[in-house]
Amino acid sequence: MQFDSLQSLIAMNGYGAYVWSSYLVFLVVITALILGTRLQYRRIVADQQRLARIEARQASERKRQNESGS
Amino acid sequence: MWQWFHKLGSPKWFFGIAGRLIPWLGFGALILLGVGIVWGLMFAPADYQQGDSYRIIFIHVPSAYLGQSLYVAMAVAGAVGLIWRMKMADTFIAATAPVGAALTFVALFTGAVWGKPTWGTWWVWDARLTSMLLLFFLYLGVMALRRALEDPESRARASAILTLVGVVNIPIIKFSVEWWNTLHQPASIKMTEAPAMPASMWVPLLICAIGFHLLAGWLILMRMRNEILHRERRARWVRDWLLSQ
Repeated sequence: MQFDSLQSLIAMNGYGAYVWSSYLVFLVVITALILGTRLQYRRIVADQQRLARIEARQASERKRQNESGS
Repeated sequence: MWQWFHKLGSPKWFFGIAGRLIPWLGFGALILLGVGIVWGLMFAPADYQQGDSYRIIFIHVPSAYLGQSLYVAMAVAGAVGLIWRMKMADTFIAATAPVGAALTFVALFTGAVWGKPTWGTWWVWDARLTSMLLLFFLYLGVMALRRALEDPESRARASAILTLVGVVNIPIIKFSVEWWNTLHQPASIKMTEAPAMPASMWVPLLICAIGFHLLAGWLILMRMRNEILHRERRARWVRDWLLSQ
């Protein structure tokens, strides 16, 4: 360990603001990418499920019409 | 070889393989980045010239390296897509562009923050920095082009051509520190020479670099799976798979 206390680790001998802001931005950017990828996936699943529901409804309506028509 | 190439072109096969790789890549990235970053921030010795400010290197160098190599990978995929009309090549470009853009942004940001205490300025318009900024705009260009074009065929062709045109920027970035006078230091680690830093510094850097590769691979495979699900949404296997989720 290069630093003897938490304070000196945070201070980084005066370079703390530079070093920690770099790591913070890295963390924020990667988190945004992960969340964006998740959101992309959720949208695709939701779209597909909505489509499946619409098709199921159309199919049942068609069936009902056929039955009342005959 | 050709059978493998053929399989790689099959979205269904790729989807399955990617699904099996994803947890390993994610887990590996987490472990390696955790170890590499903690080592770099707390245990690696301070630099004799730059003090503790050099600790930015552990994210700056891997992200800059990947920002460039992902663009080269996109250009290779672009060529494959143009020559063999392989749909998966375009899937790769679609998935990779945002990841490459994000990593290039991290490289630019951490470079500016590192430049301030080291050079006394956040930014200079020298060859290395300017060509790296151009790389960031090339990524954004690919993403914007894909959003603007509706037709999948022309979108694939246009983005493939843009990746191939933009790839000339990569050797400019690489050799900018040798061809021109710049503030940026030359590469600290080369494949052909012993590293210009002690093992207590380059080992954590190497661990971080491998971790970054796994992280990028993890994100790209997840995005490629999303892309496949969207493209093949009318295929029977995709519908069954999505409705089972």
